[in-house]
Amino acid sequence: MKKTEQFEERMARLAAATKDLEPSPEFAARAARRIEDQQQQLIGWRSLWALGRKALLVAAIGAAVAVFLAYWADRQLEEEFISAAIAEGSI
Amino acid sequence: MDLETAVQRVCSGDASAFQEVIRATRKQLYRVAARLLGDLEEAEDVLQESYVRAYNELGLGRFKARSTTQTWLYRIVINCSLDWLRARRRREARYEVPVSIERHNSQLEARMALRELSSWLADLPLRQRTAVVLKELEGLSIQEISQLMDCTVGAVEQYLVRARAALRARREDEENGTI
Repeated sequence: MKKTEQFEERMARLAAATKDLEPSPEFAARAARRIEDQQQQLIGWRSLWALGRKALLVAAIGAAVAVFLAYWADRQLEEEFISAAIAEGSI
Repeated sequence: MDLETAVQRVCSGDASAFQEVIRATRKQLYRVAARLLGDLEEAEDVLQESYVRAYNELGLGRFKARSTTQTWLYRIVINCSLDWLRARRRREARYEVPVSIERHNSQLEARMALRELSSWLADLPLRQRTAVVLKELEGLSIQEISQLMDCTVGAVEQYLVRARAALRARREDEENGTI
């Protein structure tokens, strides 16, 4: 029982000695600066991501146009070949 | 502006309202970080890290207001402090860490008390240490501690009983001169 009391007493003393702790006066400003940095970083990442998405969209549209043009050119060649063959009378 | 209103404003994109959150909570959160870590400079670093984490969670809409803002912030500070203590223990296991030279002479009594507290609780497992600090120094109820530590009331009681037994055993060893 005595030891429990001593435990309580020691805790009470340490609690009293540390009850008025306060961060340094510059703390709030430093925390705000760090949060602002974080925000800027986040904005940077977001704009990079937006740019990346636009680039992906442009690439996808470019790829689709390229596939269409390739298909169209192939059809044109085929039609020309058939027309030439008909004109020669080989079909 | 009260704390809940400030948090709502941060959630709706008003970053400047976070200053109000810091202003309203910094003293209490700093105290708990200092008591858990036993060092004032480390407590400031951890508190800063905690606020950044809290701000990010608010920005990402992860704060669901299931608990009060105060409890939620408390939990973030405790988790950051535990991460810090784990890292410190790993560092200490690897290298001989020199006793830090005090940068300021202010709050000397508090610094000495924190150092005493830190060395007294040093051998306890981190969860027992957290439970003891929250119960005996912060004066929280076991129910509140169980919410903060994300465990059952029974588990908190067990942490406290074990911590007291370990501290008592240590004291007996000290008295018998085995330490």
